[in-house]
Amino acid sequence: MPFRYEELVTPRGRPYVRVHVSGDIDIRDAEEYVAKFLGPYLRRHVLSVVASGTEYTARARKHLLAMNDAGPHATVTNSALVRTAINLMTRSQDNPNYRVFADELAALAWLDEQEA
Amino acid sequence: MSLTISHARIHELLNVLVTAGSGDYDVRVRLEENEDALLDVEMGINYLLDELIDRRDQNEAQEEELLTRARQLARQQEELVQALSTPVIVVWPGVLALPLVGRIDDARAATITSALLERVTAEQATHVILDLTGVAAIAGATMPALLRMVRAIGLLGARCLLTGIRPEVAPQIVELGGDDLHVRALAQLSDALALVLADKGVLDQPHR
Repeated sequence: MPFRYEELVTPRGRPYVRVHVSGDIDIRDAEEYVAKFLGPYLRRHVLSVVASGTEYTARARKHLLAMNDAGPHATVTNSALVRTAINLMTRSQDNPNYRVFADELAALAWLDEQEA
Repeated sequence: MSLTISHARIHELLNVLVTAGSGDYDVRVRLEENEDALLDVEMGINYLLDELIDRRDQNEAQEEELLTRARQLARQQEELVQALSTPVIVVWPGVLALPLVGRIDDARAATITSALLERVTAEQATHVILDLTGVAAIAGATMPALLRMVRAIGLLGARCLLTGIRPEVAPQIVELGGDDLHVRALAQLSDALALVLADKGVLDQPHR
């Protein structure tokens, strides 16, 4: 499974979903991911930690754009390749609810500032 | 973001673009963890190639689907044409009529003969009326095929009558030896039916 979900609370007490992402993400994985955040986790704050070496198929990349309708979403990665992939995927979206960070604490601080 | 222009990376980018330009979309730019804007371009090109492959696959799948559908339609059309080309009608118990329309080549004649002989046997037919009203001209292979059909009907013990022979078709029949069969020819299908029914004693003898 490329996704591992945890329900946690930020230092300021806001609940959020932390997702660890790794491996190859295909369309089925992307559909499952989007379904979670447009379904049971709708409007929940999301922190996705994407491991180095994570790759997305073309169809998965397109499907993940539907996450635009989900709640505030911070991604943490220290891989230039993953960051570039995410930048390319989200380039045309200009979504103020989504940001990429290199540091998890900074990401959590940003999430805490976002309205639900 | 910094930009490290490396000759090797530019060279590789160009190689990939040239290869893709020749139609090989399987080629990819080798990516490394470089924190610079050129990585966006390199990955962007790879994503574009992914998209091209995806579209190519979709096109191939659609093409295959269209071909399958076209083959299916051709088969259905062939079946329909075959069914329409042998409309054997029982005009009276033991009397079959077959209106022939269009060009009759060897293959079609074989199909018609086979279907007709089957019906002659099944209906225990004594008479078969071949109506040529819809045959405007007899192609080279049509007459021999028609004559074989008439002979085969005779071998099953049924009598064959030809109707609706057009003036321009009659000389062709003579030229091709059709008159040697001594098949009775009449102007219209109704004339033939009247003759047959008279033979069977159902009607008074018509003028012959």
